[in-house]
This record gives sequence, structure tokens and C-alpha cells, in this order.
Amino acid sequence: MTIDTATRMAYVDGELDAIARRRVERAMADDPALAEAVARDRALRQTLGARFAPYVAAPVPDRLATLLDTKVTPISAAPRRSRFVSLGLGRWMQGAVIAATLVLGIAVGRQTAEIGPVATRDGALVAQGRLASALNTQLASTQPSDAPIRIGLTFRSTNGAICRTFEEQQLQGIACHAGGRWGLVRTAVEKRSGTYRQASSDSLASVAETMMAGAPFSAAAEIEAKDKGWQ
Amino acid sequence: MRFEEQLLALVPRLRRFAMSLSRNEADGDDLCQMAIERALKSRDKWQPGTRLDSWAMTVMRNIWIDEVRARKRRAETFVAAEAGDCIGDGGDRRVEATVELGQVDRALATLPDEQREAIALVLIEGFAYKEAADILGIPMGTLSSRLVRGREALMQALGEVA
Repeated sequence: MTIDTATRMAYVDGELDAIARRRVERAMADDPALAEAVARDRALRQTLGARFAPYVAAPVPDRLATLLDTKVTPISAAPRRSRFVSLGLGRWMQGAVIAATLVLGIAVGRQTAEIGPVATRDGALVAQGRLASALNTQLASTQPSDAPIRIGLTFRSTNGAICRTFEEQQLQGIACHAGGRWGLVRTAVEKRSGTYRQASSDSLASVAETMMAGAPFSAAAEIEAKDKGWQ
Repeated sequence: MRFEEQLLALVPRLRRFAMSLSRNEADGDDLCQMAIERALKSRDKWQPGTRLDSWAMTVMRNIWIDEVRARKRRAETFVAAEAGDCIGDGGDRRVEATVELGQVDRALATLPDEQREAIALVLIEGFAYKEAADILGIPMGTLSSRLVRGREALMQALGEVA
């Protein structure tokens, strides 16, 4: 029985069913030339496999990993717009990200080496760096009057999370604690007649008020919340 | 697992496929980046429950086809200009261009694109014929004959240098 080339290769590629496989194996037993050809086919698979195996074993290069990073992506420069579109953000969130990015662009321009205060995670904005640390540790009752980031109100929102308003030179907003991070639910950046204008603290407080369950935390409640990890 | 995480887990294999298509690390990583970007952008076109690896490889392969076509157009322009300007120089350049490549790369370079991609999917990526044929959008019989011709050409190329 002769085995044609396509069948022999299909055998090596594991494409044959049990009966066809047995047929090839019987033919190999009778025909050393066929057995040799199968061995060469197998060797070729190995040679090709070995040539390209290092790419599978190698760590993923950063430039590729960052495209798919589901952890915090540090924003150290204004990212391309397409990146955010591809993260599947809702339209309004894209707007928020772009607005925040513009603000961060200013911040980054001023303090080049430092990472920005905002990153994206799972398509949402989260605090990072100095902002995250201020939200975690700073108390409105004890913060210095010239603190670079000022914490305003701390309160429990109607959905149960602890939220805090914050202000710094370029960015103001409300951050709510969830999953060990401070998600930015409001960033108070407004575009008015071509200039980016800071929203006033008053409007921030009034937005906070609509989110609150009960009253803002007292100084004592703020300390207690901090000690409990903002849960 | 989220889409990005699933895709991230596939990146090493996507890189390998990109390298076997382009046979050049810089091109391969560019191709990989473009494929990831396009996959993220057109994620709605992937049907959950179907194989993400086949889908992502299809995305990559389509980008590569476009790139190859664009390169051929550029190369034709270049060759035409060179033929007019410095006749007799082409041979030396070709030797220089290939001298860095390993034996396997040289052998792969001799294959027509359609044989190389079939070889890459089945022999390097380990796809079944059915999956490879789907990725390439060709019938199984066509895939099988490309695999036969491609493999014979590779054997010959590798045999000659060995």
C-alpha cells in the first residue's frame, strides 16, 4: 500500500484518525524509505519549533504588555486617544479621560519626572501617586494649610463607599474607595470658551452632597474611617 | 477572564506567529502591536465561546497581508529605480541582506507567503488543519497542498545548506 505525501504529512501533523494512522504505521513497517521520510518530517517540525520557541518563553516586551495592562497604567505623558477608545470606555468616560489627560499634560509638562495623579484601571479613572497617598493618609482636620493636595469632605455615599473630595492645583474631584483603590467618580475640570477652568469648591461640595448618605464625616469619624482602611 | 487578560496570555504565541511571518524581530513586534491594537478595537467581532487564539491570529495575518502588499508596491518602485540607476549592483546587496539570517530563516525566506503562513500555523503554532484553514480562509485541501509544497521546499532548502 502506498501512502501519498499529503497523508504522510497529515500523519506527522496528528490529523489522521485511528484507522488511517494504523495504515500509515503498517506501511512504515514495510517501507524503510517511508519511515525515514516520516522521521524527516518530524525533524522539520522540531527544527521550526526550536527556532521560534524562544519567543514563547521570552517575557512579553513592555510595549506590548502595556497595550493590555489591566493594572494601573501610569500616565507619565498624554497617551494617545486611541488607547482609551480601545479600552472600551463609555463615551462620557472618554471625555472625562481626555479632559483629565489634558490637565495631566499640563502637570506633566511642569513636573516631568513625576507620574501623574490619575491612571486608568478597567476602563475607569483611579488615583495614583501623590493623590492616592493623600486620599489614603491625609486628614482634613490635620492637613497643613499649604498642603499641595487638600482633602475637603469625607462622606459615605449612597452606594456604601467612602468618598472624599480633593483639590490640587490642576485637578479637583471626588474619589470613592473601592477594591483597595480610589476611583475618581467626578473630576472637576470644565471647558469654558476654550480655556480650562477649575470648578469651584462650592460646586464640588454640591455634587458631593447629591452623593451623600447622611452627613459628611466629623474629624473623629474621618480618623476612624482612615484607621479602618476606608472600608 | 476579561478580554484584555485573555489576549495578554496569548501575546507570547502571537509574537511567535508574528516572527514566523515577518522573520524579523522589529517587524514582528510592530506587527504584534498592530494586531493587539486592532483586536482591542474590533473586540465586538470576536464571539465569546469561540477560540480567541484563532481569531487573534486571523487579525494579525490580515494585517500582515496588507503590509506585504504595501511592501511589494514599494519594492517594485525601488527595483525599477535601481535598475535604471546602478545596473549590476543588485546581486551584492542581496547577499548582504541574507548573510545575517540563520539557516531556518533563510529556508523560510525561500517560501511563497501562502506556503509560509500555512507552515507557521500548523508546524509552528500547532493548529489543526481545520483551524488553520479557517484562519487563512481557504479550503482544507488547499491548506494541505500548501503544507506539502512548503514542507518539500523547506526540506530542500535546509538540505542544501546542511
